[in-house]
Amino acid sequence: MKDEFIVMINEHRGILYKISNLYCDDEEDRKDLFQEMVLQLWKSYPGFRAESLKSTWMYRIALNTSITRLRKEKREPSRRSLIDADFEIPDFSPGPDQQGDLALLRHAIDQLNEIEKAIVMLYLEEKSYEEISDIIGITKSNVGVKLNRIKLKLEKIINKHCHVR
Amino acid sequence: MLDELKTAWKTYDKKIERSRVLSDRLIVSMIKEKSQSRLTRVKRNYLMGVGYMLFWFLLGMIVIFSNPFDFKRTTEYLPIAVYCLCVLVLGAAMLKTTLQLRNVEIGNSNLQEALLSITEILRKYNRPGEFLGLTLKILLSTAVLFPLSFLQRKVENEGLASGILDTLLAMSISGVMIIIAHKAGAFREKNSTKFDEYQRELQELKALSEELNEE
Repeated sequence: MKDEFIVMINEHRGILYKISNLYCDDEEDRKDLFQEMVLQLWKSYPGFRAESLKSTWMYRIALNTSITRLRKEKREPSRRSLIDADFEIPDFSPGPDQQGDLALLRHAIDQLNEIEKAIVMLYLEEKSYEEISDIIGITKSNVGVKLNRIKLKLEKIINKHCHVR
Repeated sequence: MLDELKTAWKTYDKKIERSRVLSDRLIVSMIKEKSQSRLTRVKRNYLMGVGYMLFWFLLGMIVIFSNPFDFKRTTEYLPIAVYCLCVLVLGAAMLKTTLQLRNVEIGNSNLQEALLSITEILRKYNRPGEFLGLTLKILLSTAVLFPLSFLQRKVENEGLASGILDTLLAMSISGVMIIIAHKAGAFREKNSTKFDEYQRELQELKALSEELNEE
């Protein structure tokens, strides 16, 4: 079971990286959240039934973990060494060829609240309304309403940003 | 405009695809860690509370059964018996909640359900102010009322006035010591800060949950 789990985490590590980046400002925090999400996924793994897609199940647990977590709780420094040394979460910082877009993405997403961040991420991941509704727990029509509001909000943010530039 | 965001998201996706695969050792070390989640923290605290109550209950039972104060009459056992009973009731209430919390899982819930169960747990948990406060009050009251156990014996040995005076003096000393400790912040400060923190967290989560319900 452990081997299967490790393969699954690696296959879908992008989901956890993205959520860590969306919900945490500093690197230490991102690593703590990443670790907590892996731990919660492991705890729930025996109960995972193939009724839903693996990725949908992962989104659900990862988002639940990040939104309901204790924000002030940090891991003890002694427990961090292996994790700190062994991995790095790719962040939104742009490479030389993507200067503008990624910075704009980070800026726009930072202005959203936690629920909006979750919905917009699922939208950007091209999830269907049904999947979004399944992960978030609201009706499909409410997903549509919320997405429209978020899009308007994002457009305003982007327009303002471009205007300033 | 939103297309720009989608393009940026895809760029980020590619960056992730190029990232290093996580080592088995790292993932195994992560799943061996202690959880820092809010739910685990509350579960852990309740379990500690049960242990704490059990300790004070056993201490009371030891006093009752080993009779170190040489009680002769049933009435002399009354304060310690009341104390044991109260601690037992509180311990049982905490144990009940601990068992209920075992069934709470966020793994099979959607975000809405997870938020609702966590806010409900936190709402209950925000009472430990009352819960622990009550325990403390009982413990302190017992400390103050404990000399009453010896009243009857003292009245018989020393006479009514001297017996009552002696008992009142012992009660006053306990009372004054408790007041001094209270004024020095021994019982309050640490817990009230935590309590405020939990209240804030609860309000934040409630707001998120309400936002999900908005049409």
